[in-house]
Amino acid sequence: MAVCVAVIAKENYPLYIRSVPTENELKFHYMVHTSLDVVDEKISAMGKALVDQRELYLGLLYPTEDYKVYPHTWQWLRVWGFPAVAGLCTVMPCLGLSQSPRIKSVFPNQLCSYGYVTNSKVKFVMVVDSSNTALRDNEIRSMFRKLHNSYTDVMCNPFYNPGDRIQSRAFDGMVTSMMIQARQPRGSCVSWLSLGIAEKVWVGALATHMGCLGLKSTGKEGLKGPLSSQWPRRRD
Amino acid sequence: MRTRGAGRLLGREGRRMADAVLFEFLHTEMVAELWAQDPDPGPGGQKMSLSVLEGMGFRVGQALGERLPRETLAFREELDALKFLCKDVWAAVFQKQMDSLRTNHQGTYVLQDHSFPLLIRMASGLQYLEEAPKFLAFTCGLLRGTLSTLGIKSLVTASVAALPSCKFQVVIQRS
Repeated sequence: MAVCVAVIAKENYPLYIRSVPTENELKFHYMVHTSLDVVDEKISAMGKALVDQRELYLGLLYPTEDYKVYPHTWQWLRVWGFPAVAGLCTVMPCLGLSQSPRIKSVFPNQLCSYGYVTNSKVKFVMVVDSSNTALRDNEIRSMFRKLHNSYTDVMCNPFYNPGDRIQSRAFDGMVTSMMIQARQPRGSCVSWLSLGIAEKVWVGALATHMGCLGLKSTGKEGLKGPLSSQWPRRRD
Repeated sequence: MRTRGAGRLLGREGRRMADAVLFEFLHTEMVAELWAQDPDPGPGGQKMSLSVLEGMGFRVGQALGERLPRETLAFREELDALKFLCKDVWAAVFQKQMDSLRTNHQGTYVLQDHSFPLLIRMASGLQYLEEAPKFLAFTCGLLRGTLSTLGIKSLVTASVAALPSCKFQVVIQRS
């Protein structure tokens, strides 16, 4: 599904930009920014076409070959054994290091960006990871239509000033539903059935151990009660 | 598909929309309320009420300009946008189309409505001519807001010669 969704105003500044949380989110911002050039080219090319052929959907802007690093936790575990990792996983959170040890392997990642422009010259740019599933044109179009409808609802909201950043929770929820499948980390999930018996025992022990750790620790945010600092929020 | 039965209209997706007369009542009360708030109507006071009304119309026009246009990019030039105003926006808000659109092809357009729905209940002739302009402020803002969403900066003024016929003059601001 979508990896990054951006709403760009007429004056080419972002009204809303959101991407899947990864190590290098800035790369998506750059990609959206460079897509704007292609969008402008397409719009000016369309200006000379007949009225009937002018569509809001601009299609594939450009694909990129991007090399992304993957955490390959399970492979590392098999090489070095579970006990060492269990020890490390106990020690490292206490030291404040949240990253588990891993070796990195390299996979090519096909990112494509698609564009859509409305009658009010507001542009939607969507970056999609197409290495897993080949998304059909119709699906992309329907995603853009949903985006357009939600954006229209945001515009009709009396508490929204046109030109501000979009903070509507309803819009956020709609974008989350489009990005939700991309949040599952690929490459680090191994089927339970493929593990040996000894490994299963170790995994069980590790899981219990980590579970006990999790109950004791309280992060910086702590528990969010009814008087958390986020209340009252803006109505949307 | 649109059907007109007892004044009810179906929206674009077939949803039943409210009766058109509700907007007319609301508009009448808006003007009455915003006018009555000035106990000392000096020259500045009256203009402020008009600009408040116009500002409300502007915001409504911005939202309308986002929601109404069809799926295709239909506005290649200004005249297309003005035609959209006369046909689609007028039909959506007042259930009728503008009666005439004239232009001097140099950025000035005159839209004329022979029986403007917001004035038609008041009189038919020259009675209440002085009161009529404040009932047009909201609509001027509406036109300006819709044009601004479509990317056209403009200045809209209205004039009434004889109720219920009125003219809206749109001057495109080219910077």
